[in-house]
Amino acid sequence: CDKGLESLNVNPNNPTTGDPAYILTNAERANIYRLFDTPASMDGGLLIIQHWAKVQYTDEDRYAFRATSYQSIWDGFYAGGLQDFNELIRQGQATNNPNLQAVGLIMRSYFFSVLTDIYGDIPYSEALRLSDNILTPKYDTQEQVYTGVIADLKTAAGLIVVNGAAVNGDVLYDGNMANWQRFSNSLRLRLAMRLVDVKPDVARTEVAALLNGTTPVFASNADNAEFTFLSNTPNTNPIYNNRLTRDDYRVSRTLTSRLARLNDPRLSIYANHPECGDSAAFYRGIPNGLTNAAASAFGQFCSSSKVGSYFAAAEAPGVLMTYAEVLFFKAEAIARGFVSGNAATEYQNAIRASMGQYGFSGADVTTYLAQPRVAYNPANYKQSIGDQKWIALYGQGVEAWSEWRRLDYPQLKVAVSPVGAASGKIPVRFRYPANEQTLNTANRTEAVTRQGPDLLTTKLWWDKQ
Amino acid sequence: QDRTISGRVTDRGTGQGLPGVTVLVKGTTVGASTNSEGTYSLSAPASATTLTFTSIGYLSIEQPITGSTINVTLANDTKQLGEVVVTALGREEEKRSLGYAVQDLQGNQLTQARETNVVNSLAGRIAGVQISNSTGAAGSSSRIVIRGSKSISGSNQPLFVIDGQPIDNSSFSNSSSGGGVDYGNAASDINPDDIESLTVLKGANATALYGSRGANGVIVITTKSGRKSRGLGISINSTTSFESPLKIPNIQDQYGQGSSGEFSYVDGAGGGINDGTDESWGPRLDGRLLPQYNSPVVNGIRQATPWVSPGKQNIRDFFQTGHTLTNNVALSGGNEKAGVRVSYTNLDQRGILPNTFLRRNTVNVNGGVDITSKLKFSTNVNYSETRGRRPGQGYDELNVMQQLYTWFGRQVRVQDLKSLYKSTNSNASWNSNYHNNPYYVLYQATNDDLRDRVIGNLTLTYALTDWLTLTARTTNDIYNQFNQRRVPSQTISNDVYDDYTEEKIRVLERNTEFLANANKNLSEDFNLDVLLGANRRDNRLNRSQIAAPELAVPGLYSLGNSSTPLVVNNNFDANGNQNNSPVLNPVSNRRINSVYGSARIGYKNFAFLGASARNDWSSTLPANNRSFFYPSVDASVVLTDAFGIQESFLSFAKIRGGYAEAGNDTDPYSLLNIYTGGQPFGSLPTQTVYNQNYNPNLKPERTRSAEVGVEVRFLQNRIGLDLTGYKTNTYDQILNVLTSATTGYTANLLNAGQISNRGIEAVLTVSPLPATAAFQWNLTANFAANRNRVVKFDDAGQIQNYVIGQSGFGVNIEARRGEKYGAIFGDAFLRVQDGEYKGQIVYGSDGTPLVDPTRRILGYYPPNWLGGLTNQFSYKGLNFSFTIDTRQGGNLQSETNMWGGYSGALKATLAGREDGIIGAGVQQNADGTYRPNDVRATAENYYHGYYYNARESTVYDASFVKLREVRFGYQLSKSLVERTFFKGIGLSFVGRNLWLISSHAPGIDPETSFNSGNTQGLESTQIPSVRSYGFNINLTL
Repeated sequence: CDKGLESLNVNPNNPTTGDPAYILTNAERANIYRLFDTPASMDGGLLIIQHWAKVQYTDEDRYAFRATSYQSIWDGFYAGGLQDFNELIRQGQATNNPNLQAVGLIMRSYFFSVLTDIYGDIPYSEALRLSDNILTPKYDTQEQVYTGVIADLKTAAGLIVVNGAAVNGDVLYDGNMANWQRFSNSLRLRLAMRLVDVKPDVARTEVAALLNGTTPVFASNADNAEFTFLSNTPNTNPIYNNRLTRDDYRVSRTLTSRLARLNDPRLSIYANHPECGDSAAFYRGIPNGLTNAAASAFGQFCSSSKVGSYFAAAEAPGVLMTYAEVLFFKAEAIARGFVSGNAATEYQNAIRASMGQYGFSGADVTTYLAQPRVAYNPANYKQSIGDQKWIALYGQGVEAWSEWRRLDYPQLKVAVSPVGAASGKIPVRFRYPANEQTLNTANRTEAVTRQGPDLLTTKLWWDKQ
Repeated sequence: QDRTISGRVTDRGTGQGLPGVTVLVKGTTVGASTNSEGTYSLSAPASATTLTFTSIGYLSIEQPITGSTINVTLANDTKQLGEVVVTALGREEEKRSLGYAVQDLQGNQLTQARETNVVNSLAGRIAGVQISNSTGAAGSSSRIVIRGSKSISGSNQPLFVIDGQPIDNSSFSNSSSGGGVDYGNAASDINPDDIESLTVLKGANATALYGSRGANGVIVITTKSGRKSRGLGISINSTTSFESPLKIPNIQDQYGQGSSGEFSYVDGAGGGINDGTDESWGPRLDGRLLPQYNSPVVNGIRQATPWVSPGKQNIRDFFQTGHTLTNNVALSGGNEKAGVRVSYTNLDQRGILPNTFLRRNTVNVNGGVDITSKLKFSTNVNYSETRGRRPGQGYDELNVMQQLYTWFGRQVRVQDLKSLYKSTNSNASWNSNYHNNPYYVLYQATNDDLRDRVIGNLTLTYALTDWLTLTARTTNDIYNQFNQRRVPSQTISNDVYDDYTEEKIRVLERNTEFLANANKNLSEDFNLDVLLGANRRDNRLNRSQIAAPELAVPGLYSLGNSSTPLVVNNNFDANGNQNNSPVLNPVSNRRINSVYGSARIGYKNFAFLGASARNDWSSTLPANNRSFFYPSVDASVVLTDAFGIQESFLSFAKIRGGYAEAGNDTDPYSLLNIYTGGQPFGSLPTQTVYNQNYNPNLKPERTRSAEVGVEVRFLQNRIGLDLTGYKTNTYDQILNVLTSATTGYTANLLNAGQISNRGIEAVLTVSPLPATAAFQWNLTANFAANRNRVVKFDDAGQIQNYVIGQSGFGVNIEARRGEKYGAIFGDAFLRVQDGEYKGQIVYGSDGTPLVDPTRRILGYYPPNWLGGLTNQFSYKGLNFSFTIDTRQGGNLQSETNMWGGYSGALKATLAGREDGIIGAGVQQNADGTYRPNDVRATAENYYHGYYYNARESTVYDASFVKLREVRFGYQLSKSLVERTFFKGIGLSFVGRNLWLISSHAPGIDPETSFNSGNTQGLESTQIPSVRSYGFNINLTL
């Protein structure tokens, strides 16, 4: 009675094997998009860090984040991103392609670090292991996650064989493994520096090893980990997509006023002139955290500065990490005595690299650097580096948020009208997504007990001060 | 000299015409059958003196011929033959012999006060059956659940079987709380005019022969045939009804659009003072002069015009009177050897929302012929063509209710928007930021569908001996559905191009069946009935969705007009993220082979023992688990006969009981993991690991159930009570568990999950007046209570909860271990844990309620009990009946109230408008103690917080009592009809859903959902359910 039944159930619609090149292309596109999309970036990091502000539907700017945002960031990175990069690691091992394995490890580490910097303790060692019948992965401490990804990045850099096995479908570095090696090391530098307040010894050892002059890290803006979106849907930049139908965002007043005070030429890239009103010759940012009514009363929508056209273009890049960041870390490492060198020089080089990203060079930069307000202050390197890094990280909402939490600079004022749930403070983490309370109840409860209440104000492990 | 004798035969209990009664001149073969209205006409020889009237299930009577009109009433024969019901596989069985509960309805109960979706007609009439009509949109879907939900993730709806043919009841609706379109459920194609009777088989014993698909019960429909009428019969049935909204939210008309009491219009997008907002926290509607969206512009300056309320009828004015016209004409004819019935029905329904409709043409041909005395052939072919134009649903700007109930400037006159649309033919509206002109949406952003369906069967029966019959049957249910969705570029969320999506669906179910049936008296006392059968079932589903997201020539909605590559089946959304509702399997095939058998042995026609067994082989399960077997057994004893009780007090008593098992398979292609492809990145193809983890080791899921029942009738059957108790346990459920995304997958297919249901059902019938009285009163009451518990998920206990569905704003519908199925889970207010303020809400420094970081069960959607009460009165040709039904217990979460409160649309937000509000509750002091709340928030801030912060604020008791149906009918007396060329004329005035007598959910009908799936208990800007009233004319020729 079961004759012919077997063949009837062979799936005619979707393959049961995947091509690593196709998977890599989508995984890079989808996850870099997700990093800069509304939940994590436009309604998240960019508002919290006061790069942007909202001129209507201001809830998120008042720290009333949507439950769906917490969920979509979490679900998207875990099930969409990490899962695919994990698959590439698996295929890299199975097909004896260490380069593919390395690319998978680097990208997986990148997004694990993004997740832990947003939420704190997260499932890591038991995550992505449904094949081992782990339906409810335990939450690792943030310390365990950092230890793990730093080790993975070390492994990845070691696996890479430049001009070795081909990695196809790579739309970040086009299969250039030398670039991947530099990215792996630079990212490890970022994550090691994150530990300076909680594990200074580990940070020192790692940073010293990475900045020893022979380990390849980013050496110019050409090395930047930048993803170039395309001009046609569905491959356009998320900010561009948002602007097709929405007009809720403006540049933060914090940004316009500080950059104007510094005569920072990047302001002309970061913000547009208002489209109407007497301030059309200037830049007019919006204070963060206005109520809808206050934002509306602020004036006509055209009278405030929109986000710079550079960032709202269809092909605007999604930036994962830059040369400028490496130089800022170098300056800080010198200031902390992890490595030797001239901190002021590296600090200035960092600013120069950031300016270079937007085509500013020569006299523009020299004039800028000559200003006392821009000068490196060895007595408070955290402030010098924090302030300038905040400017350089414009658009990289999550990373700017993390570095502000770590360095505690620039000094930011809390939003004008924060909602009660924020307890009058700038958020230092996101809440866990609601579904974890349903689907991974015990482990989430354990994490919350360990880490502190599941609130916006509970500090992360590495955010000691 | 022959003479013509005619008359009408009615049921003594119900007063309704009895079709198919054999009327014979006593001692001859001269005779006739009554038609569907119970009338007959025959020519009798002059020598005839007496007529006999016989019908299965009724006491035969003889009537002397005293004139040319002879009307009789027949009484139920409860003693000898007993009531005959149609059971599994279309068999007619005596109800008295069954070891399980069944309940039936006659066709005319469905056609007089009709519903366009026949499923709705069952509401309140059958014990233990819960009907949930989703919304009042024309052609919307309805969900039917019998004896509670048994499957955690699979369908909980019964199987529909027409003349032995299982038919498809899929719903391809994509409506959810987030939007989409409800295309109705496929069983709504069943035409009530063609239904002779409808039997509800509730428990697994009744449905064991249908195998897995019977686990949720079976609705067995027998269609009208021509066999029973002699000669030509013509009947015409016409119903006209009008529909209006039953309930709409209580909207305030004192404050208009704006924030903080201020508003001034410039561009409707934030250019003026609060003119981008779509909330109504603006100035008091006191006639002050303000520039508004429709104020005249003179020399470039928008003039100020009076700021006034458009009146209390404003929102009601948006709805048009719905109108449904149904016309049926049926011809039937036959003789002893053959019969045929041809019926045509036209349904034309205009929805209460402008430019929405449902139109259906149905042709039904039912015929049979005795080829020889032993070989019989019969067929039933039904063709229907359904066209719909459907409104958007859920929380979406393409559902016009979203703005009218919540996000709206209360100063805006709906009729002005209509004029604006008509005069500009554009999406110009009161707000340019978030909302479309609702008329523009309904006339330009249309959702059209077309379904062609053929349901047909061929049956050959051969009587090998007088006790052994062989049957071969093949059945086909095939339909093609074509959906077209148009989204013009002018709609607010769209980009600069018109969008167009086509969806094509082809569904086929084919059954080929062989049966052998033996019925033999083994001795004087023992009767044996044995059935053996084999069936092959094929299900094929083809589905494709093709979208043109950027049309080249505006307004030309055609795939050929796309300026970009077409998007097919849409596994990814525009950003490379996995789409939540892709067409994952454009081709889906399944086959199940089955053999089965049943036997029933009867002793002296008062004790019965039945048993059945079935084995299925399903293509969807892995080879070693593909074959699964399940048995059932039941028994019944008619106590009054067994003990020879013959007294007037206790007329009838029977006890019954049974035990049954059932197995179930899964969907095709559920064994191996897949990779899905998406939109290319430039020229590079893309793929991703699909987020669903499949399972190569699935086992069939199992249901075990037991039921016991007792049937008693007193005082010559004038009081009857049928009580049933049951328990079902479904385990090894094939469950697609929503898993924490941290596993790498968002869903995981497992054999996990066990649900138990237990409940009682009672049907009480009372006929207080003697059967011989001219005035008749019959009362039928139904009651059913079901208790349901999610026993466990996986054996290891890793899974504690299962997410059935989600709202767009943080409410889950869940199955939680140890709880009732269908928990409403979400955020609750933060409350003081103990001390003098225990239980009070804690407010934040801004004066709005804080949220408890731990989410909670806020309610459950399944009701505690269901009840229905029907009263029928008849006097001669007049009859009057009404049905009240109720659902008690259960909750729902209402986004209409949530957003309507948030936005200041509802009357409930008027309190504190001028002075602000100090919410009832406490503030927490710096030292952790509490004090009474002393922070005054503006009404705008307070209601924003109260309605938005925690869903607890909008979870309501979903109990209701409804006046479901009222019917007043008049069957013209014979003497009046005789003067016409009609044989019978019936008129009735009917109303359905007339009155929501009691409800606790403000402003909405608590009987609501987005579709017929398991995600119930959520409401969002519902299209109101309708009150319908009209008249029915019934003519026989």
